Amino acid sequence: MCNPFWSNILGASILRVDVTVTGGATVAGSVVTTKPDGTAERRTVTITDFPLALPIENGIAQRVSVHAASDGDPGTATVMADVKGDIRGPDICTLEVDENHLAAITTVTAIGG
Amino acid sequence: MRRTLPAVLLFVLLGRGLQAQEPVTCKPDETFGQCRERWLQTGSGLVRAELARRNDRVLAAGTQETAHRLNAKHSGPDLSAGGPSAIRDFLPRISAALLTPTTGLGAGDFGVRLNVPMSGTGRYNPRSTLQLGLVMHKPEIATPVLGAVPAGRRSAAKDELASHLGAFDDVSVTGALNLETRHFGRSLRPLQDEVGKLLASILAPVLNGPQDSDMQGFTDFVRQIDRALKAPEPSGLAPDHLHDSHCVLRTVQGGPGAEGVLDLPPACLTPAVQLRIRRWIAVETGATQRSIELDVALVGTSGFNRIAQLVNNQPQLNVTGEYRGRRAVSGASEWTGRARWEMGFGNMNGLRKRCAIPDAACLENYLKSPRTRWALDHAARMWGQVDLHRRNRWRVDLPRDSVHFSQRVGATYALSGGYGQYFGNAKDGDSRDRIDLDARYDAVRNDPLRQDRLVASASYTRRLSDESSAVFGFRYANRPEFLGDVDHRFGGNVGFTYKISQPAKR
Repeated sequence: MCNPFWSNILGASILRVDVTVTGGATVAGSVVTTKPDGTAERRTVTITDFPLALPIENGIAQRVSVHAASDGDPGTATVMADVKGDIRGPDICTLEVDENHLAAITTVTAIGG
Repeated sequence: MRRTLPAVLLFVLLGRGLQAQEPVTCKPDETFGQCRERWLQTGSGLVRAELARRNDRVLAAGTQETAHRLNAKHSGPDLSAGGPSAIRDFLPRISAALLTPTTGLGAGDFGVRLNVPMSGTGRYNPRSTLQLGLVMHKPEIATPVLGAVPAGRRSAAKDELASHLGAFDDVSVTGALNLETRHFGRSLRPLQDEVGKLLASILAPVLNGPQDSDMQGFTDFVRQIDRALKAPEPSGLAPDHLHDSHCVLRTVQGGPGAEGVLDLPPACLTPAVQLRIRRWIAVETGATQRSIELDVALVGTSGFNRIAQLVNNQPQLNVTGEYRGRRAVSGASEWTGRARWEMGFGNMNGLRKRCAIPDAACLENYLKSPRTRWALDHAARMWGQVDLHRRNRWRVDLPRDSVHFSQRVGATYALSGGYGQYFGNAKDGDSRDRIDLDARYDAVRNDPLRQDRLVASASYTRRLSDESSAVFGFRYANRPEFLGDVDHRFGGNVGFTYKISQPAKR
């Protein structure tokens, strides 16, 4: 688990999340979009879905969880998250996996409003 | 029984209700966001201890098996006795690191080799790694030419001829192609989409499970608190800090105040809100820990951590070619070419045959099938190779030395193949017995100095200890002179060899 990315944004913006993998690392993840009325949409993503560009508006929250797993060989998954205008970004964390650490997780969250 | 373990784990690891959740402790001088990061990174000791107790046996067994299994994937040093292995010559996995020119040539030689990844876009641009090379060999006067010069003139002729040789009088141009497609090669690149979807299928219970909902629950809770704190009549602020500028949330872009509740220190909020946030952090931390543990269990029990082995066993096709152009006094110009195919049994192609789109259940069934288990446990591999060599017509005329030397076009065609596998318990990795079989047939055309040759060998490697082994082998050759060094001969064409290897004494 490396630094979870969290951002509060006023006004419309875009949350960008990209993942690069090396060696025996593979990633899968989920994107949960919560709308102002509280309803949530969930979808599963794989490496080919990245980079993600998720809209953030007033009352909308986006949460991306990235799960990295080892195929048996050591490898890394580097997660880059950025919201335009967010002074804390871009944030980068590297998940390391190998045969003794088969999985690792990080989350990226952006809340609008 | 299928998928039983993940289902049980999922049931056991269900998240707790918020009210029952023991809250985390946050330091007075840190914001809730800092508190959350600290807990997410260090994890909840309580949760970890609980999970460790439950999963100890399962995970420890899985990890141990993985470690032993990975040791077993090497095909062994004897497998490619008939020629260099494509795997060792041209390892796609490190091709990116080899983008810089490399050398490693003989004394007096100078050259460069470059690995060029090909994108795979287009019919005539298959996804592969291409290696190109140019080598300038130190030109020397060919021995047959010197031998044809009268003995008394030989030394002077050698000096005179050598003085006319330049840097480009013995040059090799080489090319090698290693296919890296979904069906060939050991690169994960072309399989990334397929393997990614397979992982998503395996992790579906986590990606759509209660752990993920718990993590999302924290996000939803923060949204609500943020709204409450930004309302004209904020609720949740501690009475003592109602007008504290450090406790105000920003309501306009670039305005004063903190971005969200996670940027506030605990003291800004009422004890009740503080407690709820600390409980939610505990819920999220626990859910994250459980997700990681469940991911590990799912990856381990589904066999996803054997994908590297399946990729490692993919067929490989490696084609190399070389043209060596020489000035006549240095020797004949030559063409050589080689195509090598190699594969292990139990690979991604086999998985794909079982189901067009591999998913968790398909992988589990494939890995459990007796044939696949046997192939992976025994690390069985086979290879085949075709070698072509053509020597151009060679003619040297040195009237001053009365030398008129010529050779016709000559060629050699060689076909070779082999098979190797381990015996015994897969957990012993490469510290077990193995057998290697290989054969090579050379057909020679227009070369009076060489004859057709067939050599076949079978060797059995018996492990005596971790560091020593005994190798027993039989060798057959169509002519006794092709048998080479053997310890005992049976008749003229069969030989027996044995050797005990021990670690070098220091």
